[in-house]
Amino acid sequence: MKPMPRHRIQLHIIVRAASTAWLSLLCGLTVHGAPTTAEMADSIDPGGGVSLREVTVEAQSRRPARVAGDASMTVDASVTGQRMRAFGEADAMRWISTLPGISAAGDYASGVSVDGTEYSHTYYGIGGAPVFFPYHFGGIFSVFNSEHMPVVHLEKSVHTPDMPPRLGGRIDFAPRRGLTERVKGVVNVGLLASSATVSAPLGDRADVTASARVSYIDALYGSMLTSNSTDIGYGFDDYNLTARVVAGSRDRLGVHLFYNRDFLRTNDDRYALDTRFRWHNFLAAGEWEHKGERFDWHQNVYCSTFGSTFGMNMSRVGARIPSSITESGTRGHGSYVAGGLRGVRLLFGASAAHLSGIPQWAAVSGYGYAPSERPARVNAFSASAHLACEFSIAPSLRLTAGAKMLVYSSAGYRPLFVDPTATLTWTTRAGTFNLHAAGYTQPLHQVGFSDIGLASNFWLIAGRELKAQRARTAALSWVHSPGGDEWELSADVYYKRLTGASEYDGTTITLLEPGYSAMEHVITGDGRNYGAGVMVSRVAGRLTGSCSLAWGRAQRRFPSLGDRWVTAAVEQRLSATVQGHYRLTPAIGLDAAWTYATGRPVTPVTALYMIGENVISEFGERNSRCMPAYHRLDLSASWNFRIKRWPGIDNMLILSVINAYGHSNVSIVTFGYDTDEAVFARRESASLYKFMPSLAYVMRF
Amino acid sequence: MMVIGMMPVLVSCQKTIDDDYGAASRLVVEGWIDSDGHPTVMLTRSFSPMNPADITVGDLVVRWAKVTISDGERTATMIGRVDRTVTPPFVYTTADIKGRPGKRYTVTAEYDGERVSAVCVMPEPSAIGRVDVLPVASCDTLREVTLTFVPEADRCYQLVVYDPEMSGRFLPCFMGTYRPEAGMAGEVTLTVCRPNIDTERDDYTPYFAVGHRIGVALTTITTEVWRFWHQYDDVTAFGGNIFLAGSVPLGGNIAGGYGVWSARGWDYRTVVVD
Repeated sequence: MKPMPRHRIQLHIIVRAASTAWLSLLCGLTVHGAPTTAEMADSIDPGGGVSLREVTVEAQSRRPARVAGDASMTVDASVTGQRMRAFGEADAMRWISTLPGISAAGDYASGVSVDGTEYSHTYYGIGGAPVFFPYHFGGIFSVFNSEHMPVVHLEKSVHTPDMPPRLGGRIDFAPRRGLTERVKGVVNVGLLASSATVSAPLGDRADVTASARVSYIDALYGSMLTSNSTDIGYGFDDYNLTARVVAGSRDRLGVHLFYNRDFLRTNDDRYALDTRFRWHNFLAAGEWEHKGERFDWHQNVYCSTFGSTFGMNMSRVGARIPSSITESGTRGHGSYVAGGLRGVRLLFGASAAHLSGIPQWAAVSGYGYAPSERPARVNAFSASAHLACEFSIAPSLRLTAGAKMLVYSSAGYRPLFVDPTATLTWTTRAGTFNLHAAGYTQPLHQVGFSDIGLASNFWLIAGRELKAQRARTAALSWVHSPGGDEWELSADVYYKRLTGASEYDGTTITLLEPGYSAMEHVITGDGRNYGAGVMVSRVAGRLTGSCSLAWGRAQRRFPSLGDRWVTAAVEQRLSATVQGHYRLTPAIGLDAAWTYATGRPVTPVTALYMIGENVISEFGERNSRCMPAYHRLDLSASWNFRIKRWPGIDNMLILSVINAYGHSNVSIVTFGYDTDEAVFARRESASLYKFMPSLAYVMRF
Repeated sequence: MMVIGMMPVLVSCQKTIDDDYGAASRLVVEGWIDSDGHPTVMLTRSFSPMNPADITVGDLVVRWAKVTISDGERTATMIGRVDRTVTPPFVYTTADIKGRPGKRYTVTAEYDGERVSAVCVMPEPSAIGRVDVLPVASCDTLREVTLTFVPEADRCYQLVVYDPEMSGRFLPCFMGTYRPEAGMAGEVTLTVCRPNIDTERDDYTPYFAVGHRIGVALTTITTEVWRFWHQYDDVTAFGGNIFLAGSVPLGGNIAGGYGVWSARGWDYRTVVVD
């Protein structure tokens, strides 16, 4: 049996070679770095040089991520998928959530907080177009198919001027850049779901990739999803289709279709309560990319929608609570290299979007109320433009300075926002430093009664009653690769001030009240986040891995609740991750990852008492305590092999154990009465992951 | 190394739910006076969530308090007595004062230097139209009970039920609060769900067992009291659900303590579940 080929990374280089020697070198790379594709221009520079329009070099790497000088990170989801899997599913988001400054409120959380921002402040995109809800249920894994979209670009607090209208991090998923040259496929069989991805060339200049993933969770894990008296049923599927065309030597076109849907039901025997969640994302996007010698441009057009319906049934009382949001628009950004002594480069772009949403509303039946009418759809239009100039102010010092302007209109709310941005980059032998200061504006809010970001949380479009959210950010990052690129060191410090941050102050039963209006339960206030993170990675050799540590505060202040700063529900005070990968043989890899994090903030129970023969909790200061610390060790082993009877097929088995030492990470604590012992009782619901083994089989052809 | 060395310091800055909050125990009042009825007060103490397994219901009872009730004209002292049909098994009552709609009732309790008080005005009662017992699909031993009435605008309601198999008192029905929608008219039918109580051993069902003789009451309550019981409904319905649990205090109208004091307009039917 032979080991399967290593995964590829692709480097795209626009080169102006000054001499034929450079051309020879690049051609050499092309020949020896097989498999390769190259598109080269044959134009001869009047000065005697040769101009290469685009060279695609496909190399092989086992490196899961690379940190760029601008502090952004590119994750290879194919590689991370070989190392860390839950229930047999590869998921780049799982790997990303172990990075310093990126946190989730426990295993059930359906989103990530980047540097203390809310889940809804994080931008998720496919091909530069937004996806509203990133997770299948409970943070088990994201909706993004790692085989279809293996290239993940991550920015935390330092952003380029084309940052979409969000206040937090940016996570963009994309397929690999190189076109498929033959029919290829990946079949992944896991314990929760199976997926298939097939790519095929369409002539010499186009290809198409299709993926599908379906789950069978109920059949295998139904009993494990039962907690106390709550019986949980769940299923999901997701589909991707991407078609790409290389139009000439400088232009590429792409089309992305993406759809996912989830269904969750809980039956609570104790409370005679049945709940039903359904939610879906749909995205249709087209993109055009032009890479010229001096001028680059990326333009997309998209329509992205998210809808959810949350339903409850109790005896004869029922409620159906739908909401939806749709964004249609186009966004373009590019750069022009003006050159000169200071190497001036202009960064510019523009976007226009139409937002349309139905705020959460409740159709209650059996409660004596008249049928509710669906609220009017809320529409908004936004247009933005940005311009920035990047230039050298000293040989090792580059400054990018500019501004972004956003015009917004929704039902009489017509503000104009101007957000400046400046990034100072200092490149030294001790690494690259970025000092970034910028303002950001987000006209969308997401609120709800779930602290863990469930799909029942709904989007609201800013208007006269609920203004747009804004953030002012200052961040310092450092990236260094000492030891001949064997090591990678990175660190960052950030401070953010938020205005217009929103939260929901209603409870579940609020939805059943007559004339329920979601807006009446939204409170707004200020926020401040600050913290630091550091990561040390060994990226070459048989033993690779990383250690990371992050500390952060996220606080909010709502005038309607008082003048004091309170801890935000998304805060993760301290987190640490140690992960290692050991290549035992070329075919066998061993992985371990230990994660530690302070527990998620909760409003503590300060007293208990009895009313109506029930135990009632009295609560203290909002989010003033945290759950017990969270930690777990994940182990994984992967084995690549070939079978003689299946030539041309690479097989891989991945055995993973989540939470290998079975630590009970407490998700929620409630209090009740123990009728057997006739005493009061504390009840803990632990995380889903308690010594959770899984096996996955991956077949590539 | 310096960063790793700082970890304990960074962690120690944050307290967990297992660190004692140090909240002092307070008096808890659950009391009511119904139209044409006499007042009842159950006086207990709150306790710390740190070691709940060390505490029994009996430990919570406050037996030697001075509890008084006033209707604005007369003040009566309520007498404490053991009542093992209810939990906690001790109640304060008096026959000296009888509930009248429109009257303002003030209850006070004093114990060991602590004093709590509450005021509540009794609304007019609304009449029950009818109570129906309906079969439950695929279950011969359970019945659904519904109550039909014509709600008055701007009034708040709560259904309470007496089932001697559960308790010797009327208990709030599961999801039993109701407030009419503005502008609605005509009769309304509500499901009378069995109370969902922590002290019951069996799994909860909203239906009543065949053969039971139960009391169903429609109470009219003030908005303040409705808010308390409405939030209580949220706790009993969603409090144990790991995805929906909230952390909103019940509030209440007890100055200096926890709980609720209700003056209730009252209409009542006895129903044989058959």
